[in-house]
Amino acid sequence: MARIPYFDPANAEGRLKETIEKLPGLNIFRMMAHSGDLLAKFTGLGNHILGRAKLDAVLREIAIIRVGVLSKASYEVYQHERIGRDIGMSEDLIKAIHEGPDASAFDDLQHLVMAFTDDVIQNVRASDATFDPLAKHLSHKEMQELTLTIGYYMMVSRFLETFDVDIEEEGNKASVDLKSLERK
Amino acid sequence: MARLPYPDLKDLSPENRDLMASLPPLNVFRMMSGAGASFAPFMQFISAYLNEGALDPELRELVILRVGHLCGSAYEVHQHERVSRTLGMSVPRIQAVKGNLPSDLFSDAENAALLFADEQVAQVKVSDTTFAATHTHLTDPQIVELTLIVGTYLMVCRFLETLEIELEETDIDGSGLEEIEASVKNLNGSE
Repeated sequence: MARIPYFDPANAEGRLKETIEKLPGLNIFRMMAHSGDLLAKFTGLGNHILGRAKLDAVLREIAIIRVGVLSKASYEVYQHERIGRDIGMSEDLIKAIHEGPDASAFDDLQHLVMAFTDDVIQNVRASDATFDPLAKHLSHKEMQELTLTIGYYMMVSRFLETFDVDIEEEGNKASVDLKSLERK
Repeated sequence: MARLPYPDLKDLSPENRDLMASLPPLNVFRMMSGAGASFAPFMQFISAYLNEGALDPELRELVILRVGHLCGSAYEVHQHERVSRTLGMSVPRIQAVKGNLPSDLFSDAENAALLFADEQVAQVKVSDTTFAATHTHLTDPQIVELTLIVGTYLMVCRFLETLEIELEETDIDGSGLEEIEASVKNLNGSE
């Protein structure tokens, strides 16, 4: 049960109403709609991280799911495992994200992304040991994108957990449409 | 020395170059202009929460400073101490946010919000007691915003620290918040 009632979309006006109409019917957005017009800015950044980044989508989802796992944010893990499956990630790969950077299902680059993600979450400043090898594989832009993605989903996890946002009922097919984000 | 070179202006998209040119000259923005498509929405997001938010500005800055101290980000603390002074916050209050809670220098709402921030940083999920105590001082939109402000600065501190962004040699004048707002106004509609 969520800690405060979800925002009632019937009460939305103007900019907020337009924003809500464009978003998938997910509880995270229903809760965050309390933020009014600022909701559009939050989702604007999220849409760019998910839909417009240069960073490979599988690497991105590995980092996002790992943030959710370490944050014990079940809603976040649930939604992004769905996205991971949609983009072709195997069950073994998804399971490995729960185990840790040294799981055997990862290739070298995936292992480096996992190790970097753990380091950024736990230590704020990634050490040379995780930053340097990854920076040999990723462009400067991708390193920036990955760092922002980790931070953004730390924020999302805290929001979800602190408000006890509920996973949608079974049968709710609402989902972030990655294809439509990419076309924008 | 930052861990990545600051991007060369000529390598930026016209949109990122124009945005960069209109923002206060801070190294964090110089670096992030190289983050591609996320730069403009990041600036719109930050500007909205700093300029149009529902939280009391001093409470907001105290929370941002607290997150900066907890993350050990000297850059973040330096910039937001400047913003706090510009807002008129007293030096003892700015100093006290480094210390133990509750503090006599803070209002009940500020003490509650800072404890909320501490728990959010350390535990992700704020306890029932702290959530309820904070909710007596803040409205639903404000407590949502408080949670997002803590999260935003966890993200910002990670960006600053992991990319080892260094402080500017001279401080910018004022808070910089109005300049950021004016810069992103030119982008509205393009998100």
